[in-house]
Amino acid sequence: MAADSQAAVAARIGAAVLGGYALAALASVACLALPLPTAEAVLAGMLTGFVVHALAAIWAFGARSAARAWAGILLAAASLALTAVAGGR
Amino acid sequence: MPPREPAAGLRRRMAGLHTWAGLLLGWLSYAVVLTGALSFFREELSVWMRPEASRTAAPAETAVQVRHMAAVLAGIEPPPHQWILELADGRRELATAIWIRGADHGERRLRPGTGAAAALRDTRGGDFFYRFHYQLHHLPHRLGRWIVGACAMGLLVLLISGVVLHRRFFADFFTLRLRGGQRSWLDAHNVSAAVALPFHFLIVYSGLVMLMFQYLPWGSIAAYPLPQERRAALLAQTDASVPLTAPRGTPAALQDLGGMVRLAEARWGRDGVSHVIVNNPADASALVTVVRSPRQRLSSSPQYLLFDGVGGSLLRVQEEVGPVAQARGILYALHMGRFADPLLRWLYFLSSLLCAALVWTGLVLWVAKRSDVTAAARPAGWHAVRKLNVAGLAGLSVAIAAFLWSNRLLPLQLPQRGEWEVQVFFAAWGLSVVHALLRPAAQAWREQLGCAAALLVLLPAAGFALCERHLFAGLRDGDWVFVGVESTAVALGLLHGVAALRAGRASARQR
Repeated sequence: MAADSQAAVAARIGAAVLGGYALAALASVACLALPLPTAEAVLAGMLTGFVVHALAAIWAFGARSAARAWAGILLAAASLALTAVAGGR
Repeated sequence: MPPREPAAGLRRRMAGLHTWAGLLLGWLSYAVVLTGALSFFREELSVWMRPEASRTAAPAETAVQVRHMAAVLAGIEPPPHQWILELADGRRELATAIWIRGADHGERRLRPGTGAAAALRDTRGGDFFYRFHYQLHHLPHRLGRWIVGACAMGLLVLLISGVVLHRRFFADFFTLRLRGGQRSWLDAHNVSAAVALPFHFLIVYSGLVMLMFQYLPWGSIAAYPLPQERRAALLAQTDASVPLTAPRGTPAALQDLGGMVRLAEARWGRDGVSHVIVNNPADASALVTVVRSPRQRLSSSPQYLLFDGVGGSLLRVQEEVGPVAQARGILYALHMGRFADPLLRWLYFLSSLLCAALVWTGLVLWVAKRSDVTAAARPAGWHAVRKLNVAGLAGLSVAIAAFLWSNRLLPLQLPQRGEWEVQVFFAAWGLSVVHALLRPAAQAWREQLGCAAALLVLLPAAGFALCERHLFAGLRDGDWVFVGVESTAVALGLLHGVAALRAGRASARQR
């Protein structure tokens, strides 16, 4: 980590904390697209949200560059947002 | 455009993430995990901290307890909106009658057999550790839960990054070099993780699940735009309570609760009921919810019988929830561990101590790894971390021991006695911070570990001198809660003593 620039590290932290939470929030809404009764779908969204956030944080630091980290987050966010809008109740 | 980072090693990046997250969250995580470990025995600690409640030979019959509690609560003026009648059981010695009127609430602790009010010292009991564990103290509850939740999310990331960066998983499982120094701390860190890894993942993830309504409300807001609708639909799947509605305004006598409870026990067995909730007790719209005991079930999903409070007829049997709600209920129950019998409860406790050891060894390892280099090569903040580790780790043991001692030492009639015990906890912790900052690190470790050791090992002596129920009387009379709490304190005190001696030897070597 000493070799990475401070800006890159800051970008990764942003991706992990903010980007990760955004993905968790989007995942919790996207789960409403699942073929389940509404209450069940809402609960499923909450249960998966935490997993999504943790994996996003691992990706944010595991990716080979800060740019790739953000690219991955944004790509995931776009697909989740699309699912959320398409499957919304 | 930022310079391209070298494409070297996922493990190097995971190590960086693990180190930084560990440093930022370490002390808070340790406090949350250790108080969590103590929470598995919060009922026992509460019994130990209220020794005036004399032991009952066998818990009184449920219907009798419920009638006593209803009688006590019926005397509360003006009439509360809601009653909660918590039964005494094998772990809880006293029955607790709680009343709620809006933001106002109160409770009475009663001897289950006679219904007489128990004259007890004012104390938070084990519940202090339990509530600190998920909402801290001195902070608004929601903020405390946000902070603990963020810490738990960080712990999840720490666990995952720790597994990813670990190379020789199976070989390291069996490696524990005890000669001291950096190698030993690394081995201890790896073993604490490896021995109970599934537990660590489960307890952290299920802990997050318990906060999920606060943390991730977005799905529910999107699905149910109206708050009341949201409440009703979701709480029906997760909560064993019926929403409080406005009273009709017509006073009416409450039906005998004993009969309702007997019906529930016929369905669920003798220890099947944990508590009874009465909505609008003095009104014609009274509803009684008899809730099933979590001790019998591996899920905390709601199971209850709903009765009409005035007529006494059974309105609804709630026993099924959807599969996702059941999954949430199981995770919740696995975190709380209320279903656990004594052996399993001890396993929970010991695994949680391993989790605490995981955090402890991680923080100390960070310092140890950078102690062999020249002063110039050490990262900024090394000295601060080295000193604050003493207060964050050993200092918490001192604070907990001081809290327990204060329960025996503070005068019984002291006003706000319960709050004073909590002040003692934080004062002791604060003093340990000051001590750690003033003393050289090695001495600070030895002194704080030694202080914690002394306080814990001498706890039975305090009990013997200041109380009627204690370890020695307990061994004679079979008062196992007192035997358990005090002998565990001694055992943990001895552990601190050994650590203090080793800290002394290590510092002698480092000179």
